[in-house]
Amino acid sequence: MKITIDGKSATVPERTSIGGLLLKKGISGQVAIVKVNGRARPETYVINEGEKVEIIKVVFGG
Amino acid sequence: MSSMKGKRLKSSKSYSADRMWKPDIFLHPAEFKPTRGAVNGGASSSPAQHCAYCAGEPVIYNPYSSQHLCEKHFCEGVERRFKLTIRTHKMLSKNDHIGIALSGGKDSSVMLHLFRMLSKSLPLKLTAITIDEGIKGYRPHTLAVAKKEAKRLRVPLIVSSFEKEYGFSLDRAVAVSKKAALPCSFCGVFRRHLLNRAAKKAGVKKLAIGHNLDDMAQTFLMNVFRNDTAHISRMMAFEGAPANRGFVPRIRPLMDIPEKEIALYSVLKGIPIHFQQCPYATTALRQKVRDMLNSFEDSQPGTKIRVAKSALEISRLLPAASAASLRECKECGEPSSSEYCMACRMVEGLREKMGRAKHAGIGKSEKMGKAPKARQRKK
Repeated sequence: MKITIDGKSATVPERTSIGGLLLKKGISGQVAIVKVNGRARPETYVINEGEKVEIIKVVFGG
Repeated sequence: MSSMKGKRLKSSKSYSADRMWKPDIFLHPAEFKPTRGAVNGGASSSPAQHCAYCAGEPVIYNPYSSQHLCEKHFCEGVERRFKLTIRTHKMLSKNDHIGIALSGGKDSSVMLHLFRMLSKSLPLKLTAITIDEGIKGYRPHTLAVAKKEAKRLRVPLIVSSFEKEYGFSLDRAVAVSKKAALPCSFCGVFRRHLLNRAAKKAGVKKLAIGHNLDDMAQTFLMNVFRNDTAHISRMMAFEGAPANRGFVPRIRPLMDIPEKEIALYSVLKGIPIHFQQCPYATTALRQKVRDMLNSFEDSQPGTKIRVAKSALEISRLLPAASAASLRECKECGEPSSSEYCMACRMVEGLREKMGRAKHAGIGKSEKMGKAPKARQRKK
């Protein structure tokens, strides 16, 4: 299944959840906010074909 | 009796199984199976998830409470916890003048936004205070965000800088100290020093610090690792005994809200934030502790809440250390546990190093007329 991650095209297995995607990328769910097609989604959200995923890393401090 | 027992056990088992349900985040994508209520028809293959309080689409799943929340209920939850923390710890009084330590990062910006909202229903005077440490490529951006946000919310802003007050920037201090682990030590001490000075000058009664739940848990563990019980004793929600007149009491109204939720709140509310990490952050012990706690939180949700709660409970058990009398620093007049405060001792040490290194900054420091006095003390 093809999706877009941070503006770049990527192929992920069918029914990949946001949490699964973060796990695969080695990013803790504690330090990331994920938007799908411009809307914030929980880690349990299952990504669909063609969706645009944006990962915002929560930086330390502030 | 035996059948009753059997029934109870069966019921208990069924309840446990339900409670043990884990979202798909713990599964490898290949292992994914639709969860309860999954809708696999039509164009969407996502499970039918909805907010725990309404039919709205969720923006977050909180494993520690096993709840999905929509934007409306998530934001209301953040605002409710902010108010509840203030009320529980009696952080505010009528007509208080609150100084908001504003860095332009997510925590302080969200805190400013929440206080501005609160000031519409409570008689509060707000003043934002920003400290410019002088970190090239980082602080100018966050400073711009802080100025813009304070202006947008019509909150007066005071900017104090290391360069102006000490005669050197943090970048200069790091360059002469040549010790990788020091930036955060310098920065923390100097920022607290200047925040307190600026707060007193502005007539602020309480200084609000944007420490979130993660910060509380991290600080506590760092103090444990250093066996620093004196600092643990000062980890109260409302820090600063009224008797210590030189010390503006500090409040931490975000202490019950996790870092991720503050970041999400800022994104959902459109609060302009500069999502860039301080270049010195990776050198800090805090970063290692943060990673460790996040790892625990991923596998055992609720860890950070329990650690932060322990910090508060343990700090309450250490009254003697928290009531340690402070005196005025002979150099700057700020509260200090010894003859000269930590900031003045650090400034003096750095100025000497800068002098030896023949950096131009020494000329600026001499203008303040403080260095010679401190040198006499050393002699």
